[in-house]
Amino acid sequence: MMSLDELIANLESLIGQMEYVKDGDFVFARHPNLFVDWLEDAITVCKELYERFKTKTGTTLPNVEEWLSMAERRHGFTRKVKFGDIVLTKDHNLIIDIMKPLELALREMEENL
Amino acid sequence: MSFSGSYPAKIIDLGVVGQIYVVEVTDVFKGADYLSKTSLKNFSDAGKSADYICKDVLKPVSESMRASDRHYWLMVKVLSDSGVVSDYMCRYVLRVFSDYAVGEFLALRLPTKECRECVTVSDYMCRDVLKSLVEAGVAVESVSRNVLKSHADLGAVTDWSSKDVLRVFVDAGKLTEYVIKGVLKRLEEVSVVSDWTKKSVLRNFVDVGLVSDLVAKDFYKRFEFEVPSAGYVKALMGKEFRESITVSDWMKKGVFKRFAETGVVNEVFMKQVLKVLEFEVPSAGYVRVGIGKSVKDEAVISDWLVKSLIKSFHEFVVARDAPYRAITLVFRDMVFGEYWAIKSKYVVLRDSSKMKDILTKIAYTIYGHDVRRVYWHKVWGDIIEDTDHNVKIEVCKALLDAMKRVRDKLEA
Repeated sequence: MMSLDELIANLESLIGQMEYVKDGDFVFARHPNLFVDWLEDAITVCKELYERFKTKTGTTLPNVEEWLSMAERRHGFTRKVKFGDIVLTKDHNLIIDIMKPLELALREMEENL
Repeated sequence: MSFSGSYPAKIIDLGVVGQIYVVEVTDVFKGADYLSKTSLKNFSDAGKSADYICKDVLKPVSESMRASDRHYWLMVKVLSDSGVVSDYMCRYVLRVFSDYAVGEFLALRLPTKECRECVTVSDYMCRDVLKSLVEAGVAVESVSRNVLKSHADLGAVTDWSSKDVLRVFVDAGKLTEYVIKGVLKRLEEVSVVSDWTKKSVLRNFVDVGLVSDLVAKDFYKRFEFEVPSAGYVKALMGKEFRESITVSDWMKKGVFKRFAETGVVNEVFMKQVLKVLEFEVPSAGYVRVGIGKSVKDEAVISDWLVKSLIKSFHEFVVARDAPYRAITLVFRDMVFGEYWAIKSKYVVLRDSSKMKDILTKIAYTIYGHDVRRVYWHKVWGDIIEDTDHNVKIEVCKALLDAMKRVRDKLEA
């Protein structure tokens, strides 16, 4: 299992592979797939951070637990696309819907430190 | 004592003893005589008594014997009489039997006669019944003929109806077949046109490449020719160079023109394909029924005309039918690569997408970045724009920064 620093380094590497696009560019399979991979590691990192938070502060944050669980559950519905697949609205929306609870969880942990 | 002296004494003694014995014997005899007399008397008395008894017994015995003899004779007589009676009874019984047999014979003859009469009556009745049955049969036959005639008439009507229905079905089948054939033909034509376009584009590219190569060679040839005599024909070289540049410029324009023509051909081809697809949309149901493919999203297919081009293009890309796949592959191979179709659709509709943000997309903020959830709209479809993709990258970076901050605070 990767350490927290290794996971964060992996997240940075994945962001480095992401490409900004402009009007008229082609949509490649790696574009949505990179987000799916990134979010999988991001959820793991957030869970590890919360464990460290509990160890350090001795308190639990029910909202954070709920948001992390929500993000993990939603990530189970994501899919990776391949050549010939259609990028559906749900592929885009699921990524957004996973990012939002991660943001809320990180904000609350940060405010309570 | 001596022998001679004792002997006389002894004899004397013996004489005394003898006398005693004689007396005793005499007494014995006397007693025996007395006893014999007594016994005889007793015997005699007994004999007398026995004789009396015998006589007295014999008499009853004799009487009994006589009686038994009588009884015997009586018994014999009885037996004889019983035999006679038995014989008589036998004869009587036999006679009775004989009479009974005769009676039975007579009795048998009577039922036979009655049976014969019954048969006669039955025969008569049978004839009567048969006659009735025959008449009933005739009536039934008449009825059945009528019924059969009705059935036949009904069958004819039904046959006519079924033929009519079948004809309708056949017509519908022909229509469906025609539609399917038409659609397949159009798809085939699209495929052929696509193939032709591909070949044409590639040929144009090849031609352009050849012309370009030729021009370049010609230019370098002139250049090589001019270089040795550079000093000699400076002015001329400049002239030639100018001419070469002019020719190059002309060729460049020609190449660009051919590129532009290729683009026009592509656009025309695209329009043709879109037109064909648009035409095929109303008959998509027939095609599906004919090919046996189920439609995945009923909500999507319920609005054929409204979704129109976008829907058809979606299905064109997603289609699982072989012709569609073939066309899709040709398209992708010919042009640019994956998601070309999506992007084309996107390019076509990107101007209108600006107007539909409010209706089709809901924005919310993640770390200060406006992200949008995309929804299907029956007019504008679901367009994921480039900004949606770029904002997600920004959000990822913001989330990563937040993670690092939390990690630093935890480690502090």
